[in-house]
Amino acid sequence: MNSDRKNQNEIESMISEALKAEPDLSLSSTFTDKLVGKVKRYLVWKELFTEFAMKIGLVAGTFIVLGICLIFRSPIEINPVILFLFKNKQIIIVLGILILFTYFIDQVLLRYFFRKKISSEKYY
Amino acid sequence: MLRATNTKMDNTELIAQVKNGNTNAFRFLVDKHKNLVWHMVLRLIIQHEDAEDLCQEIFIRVFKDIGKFRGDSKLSTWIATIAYNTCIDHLRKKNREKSYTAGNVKVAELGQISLETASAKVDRQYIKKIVHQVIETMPVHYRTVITLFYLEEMSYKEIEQITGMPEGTVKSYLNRSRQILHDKVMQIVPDIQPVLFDQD
Repeated sequence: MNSDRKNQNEIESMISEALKAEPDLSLSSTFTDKLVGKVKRYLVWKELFTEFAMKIGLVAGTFIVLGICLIFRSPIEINPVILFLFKNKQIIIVLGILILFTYFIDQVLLRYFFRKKISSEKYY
Repeated sequence: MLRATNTKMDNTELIAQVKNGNTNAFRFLVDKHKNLVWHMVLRLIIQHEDAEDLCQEIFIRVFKDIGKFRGDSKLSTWIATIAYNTCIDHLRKKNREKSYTAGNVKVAELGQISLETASAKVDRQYIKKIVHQVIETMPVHYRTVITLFYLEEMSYKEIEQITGMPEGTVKSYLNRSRQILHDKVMQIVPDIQPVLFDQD
């Protein structure tokens, strides 16, 4: 009887021991370096993208404010401009997308890859 | 510049530095909590080939969301919550884990593992292996509470905060999983008893 209880206790202690045992596998030694590298790239990307969005917002905002001012100051003069824009809206939209895309490549993508190249040359 | 790797800093300062985008502070945070996340991921997802990528994903989420940390709980509890949610999302996405929502699991349905025949090699290591195999067959909620309670030594309250399960459920899962493990080990004890207890 006593031996049974002893065995039970022994089993319980073995289960507890097994439950508290750390896994045999461990993280690779470069885990933190890789992760910090990823975070740095994310920060660069975020910074460049925010800068790009702010510049676009500034240009778009200026045009909108100018347009509103013109509408209020001389509504008759603005009519031909609006008509012209509506007439050529397809070309204007395509041109706008093209300019935006080129500007995005120049301000975000190229700068991102350039910085990435510099940082990889610096650290590796 | 902050020399986070060489100096001790408290969590408030650490969080403030990480929020400011200090990657040295983030490195310190990762080193401090990577074992917690690694243990959780290994126990929860089982597929070990995805484990390291998932750990990276968890820490990137931690970095992005650190601004949302209000200090209501310990930083480790908050990171464990992110790890738990990410693992659950991963399991849902992969759709490999069928039983993660299982509420009432019968003891008999668990621990269906192929046991090696008891041999002279049976010892504490063998019991450990059996226990880990049985854990892998359990639903994810059981694995979560077992890992957090025994391996990470967290309190019921902390487990409740991490998983969102009521304290009573946590206790019940712990008791049931302990019972399952006990039953499974007892099944093999008649075979291994001579080796286990006759050594003295």
